[in-house]
Amino acid sequence: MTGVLLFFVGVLTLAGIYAILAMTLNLEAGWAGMWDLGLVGFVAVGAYTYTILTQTKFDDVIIHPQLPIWVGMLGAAAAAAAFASVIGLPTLRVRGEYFLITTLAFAEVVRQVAVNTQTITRGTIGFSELSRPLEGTFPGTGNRIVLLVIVWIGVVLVYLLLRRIAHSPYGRLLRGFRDNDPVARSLGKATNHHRLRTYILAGALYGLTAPMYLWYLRSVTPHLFAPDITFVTWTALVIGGIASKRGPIIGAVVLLVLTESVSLIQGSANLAVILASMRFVVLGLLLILIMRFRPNGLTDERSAFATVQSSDSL
Amino acid sequence: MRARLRRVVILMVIALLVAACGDGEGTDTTGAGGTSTTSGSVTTAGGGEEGPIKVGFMIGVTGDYAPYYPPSEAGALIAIEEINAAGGVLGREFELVIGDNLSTAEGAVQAFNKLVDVDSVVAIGGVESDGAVANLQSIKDRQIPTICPACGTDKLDEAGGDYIWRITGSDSDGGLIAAQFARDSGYTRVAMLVQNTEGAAGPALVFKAVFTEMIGGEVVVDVRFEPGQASYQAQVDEVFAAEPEAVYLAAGFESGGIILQEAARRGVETNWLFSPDLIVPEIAGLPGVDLSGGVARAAIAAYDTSSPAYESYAARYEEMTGDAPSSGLYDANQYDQYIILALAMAAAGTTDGPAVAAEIAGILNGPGTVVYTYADGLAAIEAGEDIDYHGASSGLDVNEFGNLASPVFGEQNIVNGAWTQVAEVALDESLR
Amino acid sequence: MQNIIFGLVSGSILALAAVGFSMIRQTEGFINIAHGQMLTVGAFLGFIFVNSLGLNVFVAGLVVMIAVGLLGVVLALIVFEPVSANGALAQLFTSIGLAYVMYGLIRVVFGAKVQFYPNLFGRRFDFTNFNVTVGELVIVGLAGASTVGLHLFLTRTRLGTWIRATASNPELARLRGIPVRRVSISVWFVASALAGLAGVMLGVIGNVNSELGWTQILMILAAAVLGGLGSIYGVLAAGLLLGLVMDLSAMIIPSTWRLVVAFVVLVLVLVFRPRGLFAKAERKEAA
Repeated sequence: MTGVLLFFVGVLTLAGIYAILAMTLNLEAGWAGMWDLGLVGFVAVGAYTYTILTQTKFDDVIIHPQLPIWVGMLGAAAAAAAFASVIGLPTLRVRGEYFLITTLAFAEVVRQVAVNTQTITRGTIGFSELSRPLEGTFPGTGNRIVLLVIVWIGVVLVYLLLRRIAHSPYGRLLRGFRDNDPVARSLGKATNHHRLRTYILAGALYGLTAPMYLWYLRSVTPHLFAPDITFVTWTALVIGGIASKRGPIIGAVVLLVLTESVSLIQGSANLAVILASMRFVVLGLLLILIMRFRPNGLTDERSAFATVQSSDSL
Repeated sequence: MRARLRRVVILMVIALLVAACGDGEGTDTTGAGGTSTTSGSVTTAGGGEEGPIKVGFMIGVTGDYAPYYPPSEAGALIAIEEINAAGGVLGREFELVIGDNLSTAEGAVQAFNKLVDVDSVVAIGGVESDGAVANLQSIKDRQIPTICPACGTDKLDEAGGDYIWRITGSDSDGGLIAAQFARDSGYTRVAMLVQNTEGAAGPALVFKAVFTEMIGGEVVVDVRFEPGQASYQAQVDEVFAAEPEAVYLAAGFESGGIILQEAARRGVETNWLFSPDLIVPEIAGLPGVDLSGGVARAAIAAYDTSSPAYESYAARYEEMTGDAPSSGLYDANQYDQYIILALAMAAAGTTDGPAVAAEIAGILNGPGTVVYTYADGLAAIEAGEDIDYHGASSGLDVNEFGNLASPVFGEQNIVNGAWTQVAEVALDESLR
Repeated sequence: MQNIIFGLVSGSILALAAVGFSMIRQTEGFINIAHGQMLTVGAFLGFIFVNSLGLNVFVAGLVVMIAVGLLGVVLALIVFEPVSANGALAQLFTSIGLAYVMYGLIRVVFGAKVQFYPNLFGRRFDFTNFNVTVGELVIVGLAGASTVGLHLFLTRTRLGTWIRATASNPELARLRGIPVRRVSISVWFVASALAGLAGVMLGVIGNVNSELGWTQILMILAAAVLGGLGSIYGVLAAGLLLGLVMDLSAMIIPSTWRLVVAFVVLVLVLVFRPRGLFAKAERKEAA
């Protein structure tokens, strides 16, 4: 039985990472009404920045300062935030579906840049054998538990930060923009300024999550940053309950636990293709059923953060 | 709020129960097509002293590599059947446990954890490049002997040997040989058409370096493309507009097939140099495309078709799938990896990771009694002899880094709609 | 010049798929991610009809259109209709869920194998600096004919007029007695049928594989957005434009950057025309 528990250590670590991503997406989409389909782009920027700053194995790239991990993390957050501020200007001029596609476009651009700049990112080959924090002190299995703890400390910190924002006047303002209420609109140009701030904050948080993801995978290639991460994050958020505070965490955990549990079902080899495809069917059915019977997600936090039913032109 | 949370908790408990029960559910290793059934079994954790020995098959059942799954599965199942027909390993049944890596690095980490934590496998095969690299450290930490049948990544050029081996050639070699072909045919102007994935970009990098720097040729145009598109007309056009003497094509067969069909439609004739990924039946039998007569040349760590191991394997593979083994699909490699693992366990007398790992180089390298099947190997081991297993995919001698010591490469051309080995190729080491 | 032909071919196929997508968006009010899977189903069915049943490819195409059209209607009734009360977000994610379910089932039913059509392109005509095959002309021609057919349908038939009315203002349409449900079913049929046809075409020029739905849906979304969500003809033009831009750009920049170019162009267009190239005024603004 301990083997199963150990397996779920890994699952919960991944769930924690997606929980942070989902909470950040919640800030953007659930509270500020910005439907971001390009969040993986920020993760990519953060990931490559972190790797380039800290990796020690490869010297065929032009930049390899081999800085300590915490510097790498700050660098990742800063780079992602900077990226957000640069693309925020054109992106935030558009709304709704247009915003969706623009964010998606930028994320793909990031990935293509990673693929094509051999001298900085090592192209499609990427980096491998990245080190984890506290590897020396806690070798082997202990390391996985350490990672779990680190990730969930991150979850708690981000949760507290976002809760703070939620209850602040700033948070109320964000909801105002989302719901297009007259008070918010009367601010005129300041609207864009606040949305940009939110976008940059979200970018920084995504960037900060990237190193955790890399600790888990120990390698980075452009292939990692296909839209899959974006879709899983969105699914986790929606399942958990968009705009609620705990929703993203619950959604991420439920989603990952369920899909990974499906993979534990064994069968004979020639059923493997069918079983493996069932993972997607299960995921899809989960989404369909929740949207049908519990469209506000699994949690049901009311209060001022009711779900975004008003802006429903999607 | 409480009620909701309770429901969520119930959901999670159910999931955990499913997982726990999943550990001992109906696992069996029946061959495909419902032929002989070695008994399925329900046991508690494998890897203990009782019950079947579980080995992992960590591979892309879904995702980008899914097309390679059916031949890989066939190769693996043939090995398992052979092993169990000879009495299993250490008197216990050899059992295959599948872990789908979703053809991604994230999936590979998950699959590895599932196989090792939940299924308690003692060794793993089937691994692909992304997965091998992502799990390198874990493989060493958990001491799980792992064999990669088809990893070409150059990240494994020096990383293996203690717990991970790969029984195919490195991408670096693949690229080098293509450049060698170019030189031998006297090409000085070559166009490159390369897919933006590691498996294609890797050998391409080597090809370009060798061809331009060591051989002094000119790459007239280097066109890169993303996999998964529906059409590559513009890329094909760009390549032929440069009027090359030959085209080096490095791609998966999904996009490679589209490109070749497009070239045929446009009526262009040229000489092709292929990366190993294209040595698959889908390309040889591509409708509307005729590449016979040496127009398309490729090289891959060759299957030694005269070896008794290969002949015996090929007959069974043909019976199971209706096709001949194909080096580009690595099915014989999938077969060999499990024979190797089984023999290593027999030689070590245990399934314990470090002990098994220590035996692998010994049973693959000489000196020793040369054996071609599991049964023969087992008999020799029980008689106290050192063995030297020659497999269906190659002679399988490995070096200190867990790579094939001197992979024999075979040039492949398309003959009568199928890839056929036409000659052996010796790597010109001076080109490195 | 050659690249213009390529662009037209891929653009026509994209336009066909995007038009249906856009129609659904307008009359049903949400983005249907499962639309991409309709292409995949069409591609596989078409391949089976041609390869295993030996049907002529045009006949196969027609049968596929009808089959996929019906499939779209059935799925709409079973999956989407019950959720319509829950809002556009719920519908969007239902469509994603449906896309996943379809993807899984496609792999089970049709297998994961990649398939290639026999060469159906026919004779090639060579001109001085380009060449074109019969098949390519057929694809562009068919797409054009479908467009004309769609136009006539939307403008000359009663049902078509109803569809346009519902697309521009559903509440008003209902008030005026237009049978909204019949309109809805028709839209689902037409949109899905066009997607099925586009899938067959994709299979013919490229290959048939289970990932088609996911790789195409993003381009479809891009074309729909670029064209301006209120305009069907805009979407058609946008699809063609995207195809042309991607293939023509290969002439000036190294093809490694092709996709980047396509997306940068997209972003630039939206910066200067935030409602798409041909958008009419929208009646509601998303967040």
